[in-house]
Amino acid sequence: MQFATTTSPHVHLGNSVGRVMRRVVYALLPGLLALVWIFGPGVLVQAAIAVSTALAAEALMLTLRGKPLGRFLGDCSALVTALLLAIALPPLAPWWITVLGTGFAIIIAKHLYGGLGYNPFNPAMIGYVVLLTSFPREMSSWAAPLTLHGSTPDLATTLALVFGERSAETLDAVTSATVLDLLRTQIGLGHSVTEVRSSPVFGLLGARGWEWVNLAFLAGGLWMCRQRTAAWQIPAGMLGALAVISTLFWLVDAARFAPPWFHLFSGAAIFGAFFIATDPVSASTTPRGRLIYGAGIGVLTWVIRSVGGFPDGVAFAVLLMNIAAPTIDQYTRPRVFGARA
Amino acid sequence: MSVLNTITRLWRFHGGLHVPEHKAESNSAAIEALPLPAQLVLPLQQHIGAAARACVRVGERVHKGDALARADGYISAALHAPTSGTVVAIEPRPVAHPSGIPVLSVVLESDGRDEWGPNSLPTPIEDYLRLDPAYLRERVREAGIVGLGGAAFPTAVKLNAEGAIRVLVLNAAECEPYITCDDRLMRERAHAVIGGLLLMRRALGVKDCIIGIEDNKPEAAAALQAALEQFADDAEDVLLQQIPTLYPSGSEQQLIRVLTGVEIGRSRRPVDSGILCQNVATAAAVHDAVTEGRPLISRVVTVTGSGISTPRNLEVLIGTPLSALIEYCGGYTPRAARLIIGGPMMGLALPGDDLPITKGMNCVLVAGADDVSAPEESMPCIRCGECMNACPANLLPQQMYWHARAREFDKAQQVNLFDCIECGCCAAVCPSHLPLVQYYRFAKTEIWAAEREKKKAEQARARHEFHLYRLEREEAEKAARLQAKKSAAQQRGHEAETPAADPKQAAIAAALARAQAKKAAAKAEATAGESSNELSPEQLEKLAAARARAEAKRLAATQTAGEAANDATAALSPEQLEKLAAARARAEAKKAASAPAQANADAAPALSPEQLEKLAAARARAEAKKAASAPAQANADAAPALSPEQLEKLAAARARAEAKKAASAPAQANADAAPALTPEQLEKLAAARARAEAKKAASAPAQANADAAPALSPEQIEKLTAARVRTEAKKAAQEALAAATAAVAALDADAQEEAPTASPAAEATPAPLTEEQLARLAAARARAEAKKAAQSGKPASSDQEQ
Repeated sequence: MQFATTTSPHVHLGNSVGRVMRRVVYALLPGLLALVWIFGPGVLVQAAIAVSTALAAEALMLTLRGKPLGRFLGDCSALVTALLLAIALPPLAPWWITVLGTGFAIIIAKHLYGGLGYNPFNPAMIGYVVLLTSFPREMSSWAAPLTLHGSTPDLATTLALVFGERSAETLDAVTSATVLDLLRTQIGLGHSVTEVRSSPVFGLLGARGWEWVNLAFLAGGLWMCRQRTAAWQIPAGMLGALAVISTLFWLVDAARFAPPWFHLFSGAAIFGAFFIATDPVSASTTPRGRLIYGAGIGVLTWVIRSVGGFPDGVAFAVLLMNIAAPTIDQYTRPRVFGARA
Repeated sequence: MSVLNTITRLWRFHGGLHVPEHKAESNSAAIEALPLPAQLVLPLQQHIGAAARACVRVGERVHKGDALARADGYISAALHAPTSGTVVAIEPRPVAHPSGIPVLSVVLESDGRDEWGPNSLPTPIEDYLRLDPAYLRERVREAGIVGLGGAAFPTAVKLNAEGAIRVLVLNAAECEPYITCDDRLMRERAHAVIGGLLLMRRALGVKDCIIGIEDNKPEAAAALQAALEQFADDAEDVLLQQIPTLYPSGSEQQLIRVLTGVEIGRSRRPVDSGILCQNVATAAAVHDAVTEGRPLISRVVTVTGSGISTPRNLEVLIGTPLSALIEYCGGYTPRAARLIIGGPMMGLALPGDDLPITKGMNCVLVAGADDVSAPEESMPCIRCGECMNACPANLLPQQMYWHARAREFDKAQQVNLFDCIECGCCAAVCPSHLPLVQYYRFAKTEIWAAEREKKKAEQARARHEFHLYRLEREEAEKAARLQAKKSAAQQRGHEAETPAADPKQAAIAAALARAQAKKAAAKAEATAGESSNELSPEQLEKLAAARARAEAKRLAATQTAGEAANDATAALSPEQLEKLAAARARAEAKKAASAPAQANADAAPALSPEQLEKLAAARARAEAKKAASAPAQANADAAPALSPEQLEKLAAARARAEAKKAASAPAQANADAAPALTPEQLEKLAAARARAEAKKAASAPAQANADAAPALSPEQIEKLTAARVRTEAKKAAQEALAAATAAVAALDADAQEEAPTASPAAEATPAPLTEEQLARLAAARARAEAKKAAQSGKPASSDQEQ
């Protein structure tokens, strides 16, 4: 009898890229539901647009690059990119924004760099930043949270806003500025943090409504770390550094700088820490390196939020640290077994 | 205090995996003896080290337990007839090895009687725990026992680490999935296992033993505990330690880490940390060899997997074909998809079952298609780091992969490729299904191959260059002879007319001298380069001596040329003079380099006293020539007329030269090992001693060497080295003297001949020479000392060598 001679190991524990990516999707579900509950079905509409665009773009690029479609579409990596971008976009953003951002993310930020595993930057964040810098007006009008208006736009309104004509009146009725936006403009006008925080858009911890979304993302993220789908060092480093630096400055001047819990529970801090920064391809890979990488994102996020030109800084912070990841890896190699310390 | 008392907890190693164990398939099947097969194939190489040498002839009848092959070398193992029968062939046969290269094997046809010979079985020993350790080791060696855990390293060699070991670890982990042979052995023959452990402990002179067993084998652990109690006081200081089941805790490095906290990396062997690791089956084999006189002729093999009808644990004679095991276990099931020797993590997949069982095989795994991973299309690496989390060596497998894939082998080595133990954890967890271990093996073999290629290329290059040098040199020598004749003839013709010879002629002569010096040096180099690759040390040393002689001759030749030039010196331009001086300096430097080789030649153990004497004489002649020529040479340099300032400078230079000479003397004294003297005393002493030694040194060391040649003790070597250093120092002193004389002569010459042109070379000449000599002295001493250190270090370290 003749047998196949493959090399050891002969067993595999069954992990796959698809499984890793699907776990990320599962971990996103609580946050996604919270977003729907607080902001209406907009995010689902955006997700649908993004996912279809991403799969189409992925299929196109795979065909052009002569890669097997089934195997690579089945890895769900495009799905994850699309969902992450859809969550980051304003729920009522016009459809072409989403299509443009997703297409850019998949075609340019991912495949032109070599496809899965080769992209130096987080594709979703590249797409987001391209949109943010190109269309700041569309990108800054967020749907108002449920708790502010007492209701969220229904599906028909959402679809009309996303796909149809966008009049200023209808838009104003359902959107509001984000807290980070408000905070930076008001402080720019000379108001103190305490004054600004008395605005109704602020909640107990961060922005009204966002607190729940962030808690849901936190739950999903913790589960993902527990599953070892995401490296715990990155969110720990990022949130830890963000907390430390914001506490320091808040203690120094509470009138000018927002308190740490505000930073942690506003904007994309938690979502970014668990879902964006942990993208393995573009992040640091060594244990110590991941802590440093996360901490770098945390510090940069605070710096951009507090003194930079954009309301939130997670996307930029992640991209900046993507650049540093190979260098961090180089200098944080773990001690090899048996080597002297 | 016993080391065991300090073990208060278990340690962790990084990574590791919980792989589905699959032990239940076979761990309830008691060990059965496989029926005697008709034919046995016994490869001479089934262990680490040199292949055994067959000591039977084709057609010879052997009894069970008779030696078929003897250990050939220190790291090797004997081979015995597993049953009685006739040797029908000694020929290359395929074995279970990834290379697939057939190995010379003894083919034994069984006569079915399975009888022990009258001489094949040493007398059983009852009270075996009181045996002499040396006798124990001898008996283990004769029994051909190798590590039965899989590595098959000769056990006797490991047991020779007597005195260096503090803790003996018995590896009962059996961490690979499916394998249960050690488990069954411990359950059924716990007494033999513990007995073997105690024997090895005695052979090593160790007190403390730790048995490490994974906690998925409670029955085996209980059996061992019971056996330990049976041995009572004899088994004191043996600690039975259950460890968590985690692959690869049965790997030697990881097991030692778990039990003792000590990390043994690639650069250190366990022995260097005072820890020795032996497998349980090896222990039982040692027990059998000592108490029954039974050589290693069989072992327990697990036959398991969903591809086999009835998984079993079998006592199998070494050399039994795999097919006999398969047949006894009911044959293959329809699911059988892969035949693996060893476990699923590190085992070797075989194409078929027509291969013999060897000493290192612990398991025959016939895996079903769904038990093993299909060779799946892999995805790109997503840098998730799962491999890093799983790596028990704490490596960065994905970085090793990237570099191996890009064929950047130097970078792969930088990320510690060679620390990889190929346990397979990384590949087993890789979400992209990358064949990581295969990449590492590829990179390792590429690096090894590149190193071999490099060596070969260097040899070829050296040979080629030497060839070119020789052709060039022969032509140049011819031309030089011609020129020397011509210029001499011309010289005679011009003598009466004018002292200033044709400047062109002089320039040519000088150029020739330089060319010759270069070629001679190159030749010496090439000779060394070529010979060092293929020659034995003795030959090398002879060569070095020959080279030294050639150098001396060459120097004389240069001298002749130089003299020719000297006759024409009046007309030499300062630049030419400078060049000449430089050429000479280079030649001197070369000579200095060859000098130690000459010194080493003294110590050559293979030289006869007569040869040594001849050598010494040759050296003396060479030096005499050199000394004779030096002043003349210096004259040549200094010949062109000097300005008063230059004269002053020269005087200063001479003063420096003398100071240098004086300075070199204490160095010589140091070589004689007089550490407590003041510099003044040293100087005086050195002067006196230098004179005395100049006489005796040339012959004495050679004589001493010749006498001491066969077996030098460290003290003798030290003395010898001292003598050599003295010789060196003396030579240097002579040279210094010669140079100083040269400087004086030069000055005299200058004083007589006043000339208008300045020559920077003249000033440079004396000082650099002496300095060079000083440097040479220092270098010679350093080399001699290094040599001494190496020699005295060697005997000590070779004791530790396994």
